[in-house]
Amino acid sequence: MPYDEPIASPAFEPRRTAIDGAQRLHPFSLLFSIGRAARNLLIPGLFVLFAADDNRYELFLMVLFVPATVRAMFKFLTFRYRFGETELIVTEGLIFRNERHVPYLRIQNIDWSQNVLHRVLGVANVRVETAGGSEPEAELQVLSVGAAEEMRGRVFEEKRRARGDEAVPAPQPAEERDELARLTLGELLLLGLLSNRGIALVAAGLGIGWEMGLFDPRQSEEWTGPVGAFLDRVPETWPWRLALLIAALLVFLLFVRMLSVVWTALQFWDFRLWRSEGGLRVESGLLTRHTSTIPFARVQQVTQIETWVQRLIGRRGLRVVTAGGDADNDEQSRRRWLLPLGERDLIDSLAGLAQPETSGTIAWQPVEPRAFLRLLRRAAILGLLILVIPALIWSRWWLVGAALVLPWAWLDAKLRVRRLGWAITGRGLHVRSGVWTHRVSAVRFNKIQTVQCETSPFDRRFGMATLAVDIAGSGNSDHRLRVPFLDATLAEMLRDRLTTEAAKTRFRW
Amino acid sequence: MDPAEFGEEVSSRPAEESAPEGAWPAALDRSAAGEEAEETPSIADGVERRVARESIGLDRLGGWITLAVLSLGGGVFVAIYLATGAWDPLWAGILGSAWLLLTLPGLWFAHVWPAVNWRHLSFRADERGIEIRRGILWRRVITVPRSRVQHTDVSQGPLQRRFDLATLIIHTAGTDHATVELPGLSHATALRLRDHLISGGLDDAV
Repeated sequence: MPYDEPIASPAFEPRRTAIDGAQRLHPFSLLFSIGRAARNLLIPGLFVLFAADDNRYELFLMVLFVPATVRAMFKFLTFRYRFGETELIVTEGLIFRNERHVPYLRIQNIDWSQNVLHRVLGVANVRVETAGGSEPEAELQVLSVGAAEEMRGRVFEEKRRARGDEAVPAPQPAEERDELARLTLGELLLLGLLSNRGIALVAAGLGIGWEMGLFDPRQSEEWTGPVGAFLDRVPETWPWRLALLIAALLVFLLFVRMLSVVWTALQFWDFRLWRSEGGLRVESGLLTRHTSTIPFARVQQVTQIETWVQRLIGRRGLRVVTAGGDADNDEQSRRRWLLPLGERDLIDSLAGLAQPETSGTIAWQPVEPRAFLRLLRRAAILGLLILVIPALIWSRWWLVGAALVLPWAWLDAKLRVRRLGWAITGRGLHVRSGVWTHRVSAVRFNKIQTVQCETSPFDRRFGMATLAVDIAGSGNSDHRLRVPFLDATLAEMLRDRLTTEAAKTRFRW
Repeated sequence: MDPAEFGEEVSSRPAEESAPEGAWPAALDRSAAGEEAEETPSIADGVERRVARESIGLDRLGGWITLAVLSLGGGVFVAIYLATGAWDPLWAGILGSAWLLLTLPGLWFAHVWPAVNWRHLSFRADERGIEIRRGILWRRVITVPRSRVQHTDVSQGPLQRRFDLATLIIHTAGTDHATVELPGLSHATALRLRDHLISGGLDDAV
């Protein structure tokens, strides 16, 4: 370590950081950096090409690659990383030099992802993440698989040493670690069939089609080809038309399900959950293979999700919230699954494993039953505004809608209030909610950041309050820790209890 | 520093607002007093306090300035319209009453609201951390444990400096409440609260 160097060393001296076991990125980095630039230019490039219809523009576009190539060269030539005593040191830049020190103790994750090309070339994209912020602390694009493995091994070993528990044995190679769960092909298909991803894809497709004028009536007036011939032969009578409509609907639904399956397969192909050193390790993906580690200490919240169809077949999913990362990132949201679909007992035991402090049987406490009336009243007033006023203005048929909505609102309010619940066990808080999709979350006291009691004017009329618990990284969560419709006194007592419990513990990232 | 200088104690509170008995355990308060009852009284004595009364004046000043800008702007607009000479009485009436409708509630908001707001804003510090109570219609009580405070700011705007007031900003690692603000404190109280919060609680011990 060149800490004892004289301060006055001239800036143009050979870089000392380039020695002492400093390592470079894999030479293929150049390829991937340029490839990434190409991908960014692809869409505007295509537009220009199509609009211009002239080959010279292609040459013109190549100019845009020059800065990207130069930048990639510079990055590759100047990028170094090395393993310091207590920190990972990454240096980058030629003119503006940046040296980043990431203490091992702060490193939350070492993730790597490999798309098909990465796998063929034997390299991986490695991201070193700490808890703060949405950006990875260091992105090493790309390292050879060996270097990536070394990075992971070194960091976790140094981390253990920095923490001072030498006694813990070194992590086994991935193959020998115990596998906790995996998504079998059957479960994967099931997950795809039950998910509604396909409809989102269809909607996106329709949007693009609309933009491109595919639905222009002048163009689609005449069906041609075999479909058109078939349609011509169908008699134009009522039963035939109905049958055709139903058939078309079925084909559409089948198509949507197929898309869901494909999408799910891309994401969750060969999904595996391992136990790794001090945490869990998740691997998944068909084309892009993604691996991430989730240390137990970084788990902020554990959520079990169960849609109503999944409930019928006795399965549910398990997610965790970890600090850091942003909600918009698709990779992030995928990685938060501990198991997207599994049998109830398995999910239960995995949830207990991820957060042992909150495992065990839960004695659920209900919210105020009077909340049912509040919800019903709200629905009735809204229904009145939305349906009865139009009925007075336009047509009495709107009243039929109102008559149908009220029983539905009644059922929904009944179920919703019955489902809402909270519990305190051992060292954590549990919250559950949801009518059709059940969500059950648990948070440890030492991960609670702030506790808030909220009372609206309506709450005060009924002597109720909402309890809200804030945790790190809940921007990623699809289940906020909020318990509405609590008795106001009880809510205050809970706030007090949770504050005391949180204050007793220390928060570690 | 005299404890009375930290801020007025919230002694009477309408029945519907009062916190339940024993919400903050007496034992904790006593231990707090016992540990730190040296020459300077601690602000962490579990007493619920309002922020400085001067903050009403500050908020009023701000309100008056905003109102003056808005209603003068509107008034100038109306006056220009009238001065063109080609105005018709209907539009003049509409514009004039719109101006009045904006200005009169504006007066209320500028003058009365800060006092109402002040009555509904209080804090309480104890060994565990700080509790902030705020909101008139939608009321919120938030507690930030000391061991969860990442860092704190004491900020003073130019007007606040004139009134010797400050805003305490507490940063946590949370998401919805990553920053918790307590405005209207006297500068000295804000500093005391800050010192109490960043003295860390558990972090020293571990």
